[in-house]
Amino acid sequence: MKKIISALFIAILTLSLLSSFAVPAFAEGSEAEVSVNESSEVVDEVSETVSEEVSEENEDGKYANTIRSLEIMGFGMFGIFLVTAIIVCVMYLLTLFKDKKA
Amino acid sequence: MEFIYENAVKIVMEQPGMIAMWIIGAFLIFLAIKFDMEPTLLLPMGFGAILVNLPVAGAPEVIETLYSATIENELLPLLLFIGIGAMIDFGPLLSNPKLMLFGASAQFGIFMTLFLAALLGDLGLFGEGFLITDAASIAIIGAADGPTSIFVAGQFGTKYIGAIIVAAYSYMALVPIVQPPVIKLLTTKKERLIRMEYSPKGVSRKTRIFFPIIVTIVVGLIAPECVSLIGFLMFGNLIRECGRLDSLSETAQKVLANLVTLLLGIVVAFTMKASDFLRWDTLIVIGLGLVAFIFDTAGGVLFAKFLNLFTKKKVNPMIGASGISAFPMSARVVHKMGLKEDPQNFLLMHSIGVNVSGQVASVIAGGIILSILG
Repeated sequence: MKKIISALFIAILTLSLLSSFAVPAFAEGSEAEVSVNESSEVVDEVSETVSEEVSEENEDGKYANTIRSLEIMGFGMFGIFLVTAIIVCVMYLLTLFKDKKA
Repeated sequence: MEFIYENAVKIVMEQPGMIAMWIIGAFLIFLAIKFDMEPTLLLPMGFGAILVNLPVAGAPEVIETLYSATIENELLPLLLFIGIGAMIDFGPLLSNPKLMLFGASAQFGIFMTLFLAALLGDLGLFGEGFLITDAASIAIIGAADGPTSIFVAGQFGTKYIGAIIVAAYSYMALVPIVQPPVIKLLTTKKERLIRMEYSPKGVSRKTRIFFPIIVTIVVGLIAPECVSLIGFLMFGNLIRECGRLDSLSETAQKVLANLVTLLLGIVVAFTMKASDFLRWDTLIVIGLGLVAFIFDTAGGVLFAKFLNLFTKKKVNPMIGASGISAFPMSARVVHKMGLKEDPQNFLLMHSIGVNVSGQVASVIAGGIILSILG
């Protein structure tokens, strides 16, 4: 059980962490598209179109708050699970304290 | 007589918003008295809404003074947290610490609502949209915890604070109506019948005393923005658990909590002036509050179902729903649903453990949002 919880924690933390990095990367433009551009011309065209659309929208700031909210979601869930994980560990440690028997 | 007549005509003709606010105030009082919906807060708020929407100024000035002296500087929410801390027994959580995970997962609604509020604003479906801080303040309704909502919304200085408070407390009262359909939708009959044994492990007094102190230090180091909230909550709990301050603990639980709630209700009504409250955005804020509660519930339930994929000892997924805070209403709802499915299935202690973990997790969520956007 404890192993599973630990694995779960790691998975969630990793996903949250990845999302908090991935979203800003998407927001800032075409970093992720560099490797795609190298792979094929078809993908290149699609990538450019998407990149232009995203850039245009970001220049206008139209979806800036939405993108920021996704970023906060990533960091936020990561942060909550991180703090919670530490509190769970603290609680397990605290349960080691036993009252003296009368 | 003529003066009264002229005044009445003037109000009806020139300020119909005031009359609308009287109706809203009366409706809140009606809900409080007739349906016993959070009466300690909705009744003072309802009366306050009428009071601040009278044509001749006088009372509003006093309330404004109280508002800036007690809400703007976060005094009342923090004092209320001492009372809440004194009311909470962390025993069920300390005897099964992994329940804390459900509290964390049930904060998902906050972030989902933040996303939706930001998206709605960005799509330009109404007015000027929401600032990201407004969206965050609205999302924190999902903390299902009045003082945290007031604290975060106050820190961001959002103009929607009145609607946020009304939504937060109204939905807390509506937990027995909002949660069951969502739980039923996401669980099968078989899952709802899962029995969970409760084998209470004795929690030592030392553990109970060290818990609030260490949690305050840990949270203070990691999420300093919410240290005041968690600190006051844990201070109240320490008074309760230390065993030497029983009279103070009782005072905090009853007198302090009641007094603060009484003031809180009437003072926050200052934000319910017709000009600030009667906007289309208010309806959207109230709608998003419902979304937050639904996604919170879904987050907790789905996390429990996810855990069940890997564990031999299955968890009844319904207890995940108690992670939304709303203490102790949510735990009772889950317990009753469990009994309805199987009269021998007692989920109360498990759901109470998840419920108090939600209380802590919601404060942490508020602090994290403040840290990111503050």
